[in-house]
Amino acid sequence: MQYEIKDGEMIVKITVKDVEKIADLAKLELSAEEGQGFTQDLQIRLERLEVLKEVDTSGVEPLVYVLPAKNVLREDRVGQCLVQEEALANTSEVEDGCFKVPRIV
Amino acid sequence: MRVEWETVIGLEIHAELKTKTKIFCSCPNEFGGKENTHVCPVCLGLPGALPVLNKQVVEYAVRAGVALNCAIQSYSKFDRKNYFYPDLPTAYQISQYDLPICRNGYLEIEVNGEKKKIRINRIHLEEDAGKLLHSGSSITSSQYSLADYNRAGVPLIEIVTEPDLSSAEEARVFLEQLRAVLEYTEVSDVKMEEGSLRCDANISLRPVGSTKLGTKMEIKNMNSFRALERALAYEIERQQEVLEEGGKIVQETRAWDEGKGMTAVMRSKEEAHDYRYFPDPDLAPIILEPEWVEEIRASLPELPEARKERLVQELGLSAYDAGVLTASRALAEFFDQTVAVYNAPKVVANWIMVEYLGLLNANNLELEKSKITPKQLATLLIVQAEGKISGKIAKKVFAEMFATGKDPEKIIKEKGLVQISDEGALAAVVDKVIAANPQSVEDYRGGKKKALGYLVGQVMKETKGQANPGVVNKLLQEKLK
Amino acid sequence: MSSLLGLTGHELQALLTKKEISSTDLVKEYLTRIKMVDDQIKALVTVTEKEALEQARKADGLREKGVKLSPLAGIPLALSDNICTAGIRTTCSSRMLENFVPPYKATVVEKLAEAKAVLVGKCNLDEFGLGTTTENSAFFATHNPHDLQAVPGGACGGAAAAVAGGEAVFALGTDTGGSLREPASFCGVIGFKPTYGSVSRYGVIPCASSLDQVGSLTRDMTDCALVMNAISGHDPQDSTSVSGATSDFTNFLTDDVKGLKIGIPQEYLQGRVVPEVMASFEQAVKKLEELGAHCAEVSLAHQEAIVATYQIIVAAEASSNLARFDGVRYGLRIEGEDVDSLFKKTRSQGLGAEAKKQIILGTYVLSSAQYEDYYLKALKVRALIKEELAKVFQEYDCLLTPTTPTVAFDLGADKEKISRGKLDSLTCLANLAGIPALSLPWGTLQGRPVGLQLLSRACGEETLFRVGYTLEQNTNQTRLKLKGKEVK
Repeated sequence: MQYEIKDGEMIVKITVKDVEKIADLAKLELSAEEGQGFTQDLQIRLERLEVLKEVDTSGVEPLVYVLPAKNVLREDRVGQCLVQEEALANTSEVEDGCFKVPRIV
Repeated sequence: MRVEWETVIGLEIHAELKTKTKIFCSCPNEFGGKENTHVCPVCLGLPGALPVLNKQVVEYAVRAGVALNCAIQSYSKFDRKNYFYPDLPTAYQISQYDLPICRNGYLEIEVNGEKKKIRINRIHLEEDAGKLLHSGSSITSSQYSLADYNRAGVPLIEIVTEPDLSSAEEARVFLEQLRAVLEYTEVSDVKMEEGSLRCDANISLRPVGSTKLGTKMEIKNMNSFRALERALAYEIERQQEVLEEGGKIVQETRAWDEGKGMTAVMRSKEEAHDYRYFPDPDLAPIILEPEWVEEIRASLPELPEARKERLVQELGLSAYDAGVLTASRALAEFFDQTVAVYNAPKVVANWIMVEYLGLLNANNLELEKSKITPKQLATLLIVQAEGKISGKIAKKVFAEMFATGKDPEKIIKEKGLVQISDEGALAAVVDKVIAANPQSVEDYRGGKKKALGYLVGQVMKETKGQANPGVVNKLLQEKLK
Repeated sequence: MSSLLGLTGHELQALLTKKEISSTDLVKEYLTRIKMVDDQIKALVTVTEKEALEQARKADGLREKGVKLSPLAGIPLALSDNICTAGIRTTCSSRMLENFVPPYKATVVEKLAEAKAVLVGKCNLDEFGLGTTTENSAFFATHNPHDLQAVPGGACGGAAAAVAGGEAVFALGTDTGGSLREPASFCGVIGFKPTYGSVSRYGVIPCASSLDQVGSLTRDMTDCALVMNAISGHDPQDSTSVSGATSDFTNFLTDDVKGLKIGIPQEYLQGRVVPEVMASFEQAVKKLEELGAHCAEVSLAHQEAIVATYQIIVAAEASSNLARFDGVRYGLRIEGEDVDSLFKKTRSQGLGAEAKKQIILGTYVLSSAQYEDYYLKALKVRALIKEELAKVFQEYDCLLTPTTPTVAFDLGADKEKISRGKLDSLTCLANLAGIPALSLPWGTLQGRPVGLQLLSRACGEETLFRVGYTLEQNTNQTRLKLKGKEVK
């Protein structure tokens, strides 16, 4: 990761390579144009997030759940399943009741 | 100077929980089934579907945690582990990252008479992925694969040990004892062959005396206790060779190939994922009040260690025998129930370990599927003790019981196997044998005591094993004086 | 007959009850209207003509038999196309789901079916709810019925335009950071986002799960209450659903704001809201004071961090929620030589630019090296923001702001320039805190509607309905005329 100084602050400098790595994690294939564009876009978006650094969050517990809910549990009782045709209805690549995928490695 | 190496092993064990339904939906949790029929919008990852946690899953995890001496956490939550793979319908696995349900447990194992505490770092809950069936013989040689999501969403606990194991044997023993605990507590089917118990290992070597851990290697795809021990033994040897030749161990994941008897690289560290864990906003946290945990603790059955101890202390069995008999709950129950009818623990233990386990192994059968009941075995042993049948006949009867499930008395009666102890009835046979074997008679009289055994054997043969060997012995000795 | 088009649900229900009209007539009227105006407004992705006529016929049949029917029975409605309808394609306005026909339906759809409301169509939105103008739809942009040159707002622009343009009496959509309220404001209808968890999210294709909430678009407060009565309540299939008894929202329709303490975050509005909108807003404040409410300035701590916090959470959660679209089980599939290339080709061709940008940002902020600085930090600031609002609501019954910093702008305009990426700066606060929020029309500026926004504490819906209803009863600013071709 590279950094640059902007307005006296250390700012992350996003490179096309960074974006390609992220895109690979997210299984996106970027055209050269997208690579450039998304790099710029991410840079702008991240710069807008810089304001967060100014908030003092020491000792603050992260808010994970909006509601104070806990132990939302279901009884261990069998319910309705889809029938095989329904499960497979939204894909054309089917064999022996399974979803077909190309070579894995 | 030659460097002595020390092995450091930690295990990660996945056990499928024996619930009726999946972890986050009400599809049945059953092994097998027609492809993609135990699925619903939730476990098929259809957009918009939402997970709801199965209460039984929480109770089973706590049960396992308590049995493994863990601190049950009052607050735990679910996180998403993000990665793409065709067996993972939502492209994230719901798991527990930084706040697992159980922490800091241990399991005591015994290897070569020495006891050792193996610490358990954590137990966490997660969902299983679907199954991929490959068109070729292996994943690498397949042109395509087929995804069946019946297993997707089956509840799992992952048990992570500290790196406290120092040999392949210790690792195998630990896994066997862990399996017993999970079986005793009835939280899992623990069948390695069906994949309801799976084990990965982290292994590294370091010079004896060093406190710094060596480079860690992850080993996967060990599908039996034997495979675990063999794979680790192989890996220890392989790493030692590399190190002794001055080489370096690089961090990677290797897979055990049972057929070839070796491990091979699966992926290197560079290919390691960034799972981007974050709390799953679709699920509420689990908050375990102490009362709930205590309720679960109180419902635990006697655990293997305690049971083994009882067999040694109260019934006078050897530690080894007690260990074998308590390795599975079903076997221990069988033993206890037999002893309850026929109170001769050592005799019962011997029978179960030699005859019964022998037959089960020979027939590749699980105890649960065998036809013999504890009461039947006890009856057989009583009949034998009363001298009604010989030990040899008893074994024959037992084999018949094993095959048919019939009561021993019935078999003995039907086949006319009652032992002959009547001296009058046996005298004629004894005389006949003496007459037919002059050489042996002479040998015996000449001081070769061994010859008597041969003669007894001949009497037994003549009576098709029904003669009481004690009586035969006595008669022969009298007649040959 | 065209006079029926401007009526609210409860006004139409009165006519249905008196048997002055039948649901079939009403639905036919709406289907005709759709055919007439939707080529210009482009609110709908799918028109469910056959199903609508069938449902209308059933509602009429029940009415004939004298069965007691719900207030929504026989009334035409539209659904944002991120809400799953069994057997009817649900696209999220994405190429990815262009042909996706869910085998199951959302809980809200089930509830509306029980109420015998009649689905006439599924509405365009910004792809997967990511956007503020509906221009990010993979299919087409929706136009604002009040001014066809203008955007309808977003993400649920199609749903708001359908209600404003007379293509449905009411609609359901989702609100992640203003996705219902902003289009409601731009299109001059009422947009209501209830307290997080009060309406089931089961079957609603998520954008950001911890922020998303299903809400309504209606023509008046009474309809808003009736729709909420029909769709809210505990759902055992949604772990984030609030348990406990549900209220009758019509009880909250009180024409009285005397003594209510209303806070105005003046400092937050300054520099964000354009002067013309501010001027309209001030008239509303004046009106509420005339009606007996006490309005006072409040300041919000951490206000500068609100939008950044929101953006991190949306991107992170959306990046994970959109990961399941990999071509294997449903949706677009672009073949590749191996699984990795199937995933990449499918996702690259199936997702639009904005979705990809959000996924890139979300993946980045969740990556192990950045997690603490961005995502975890955002969760902590979110805690502070929620706490701050809880404090404000100890003193005030509700907060009042304009819904959006500007009125609707032209299609194709550079919205970055207009809003500096902060178009949802006034609305996303409610989603971060999980509190209820209402957007109410407040007249127009050069023919483009202005919206007022009210926020209250969690489960404080009653106050919002009270203020909304009082303004509706005492002014002529909240109920705008139906717009679109042929409606003068």
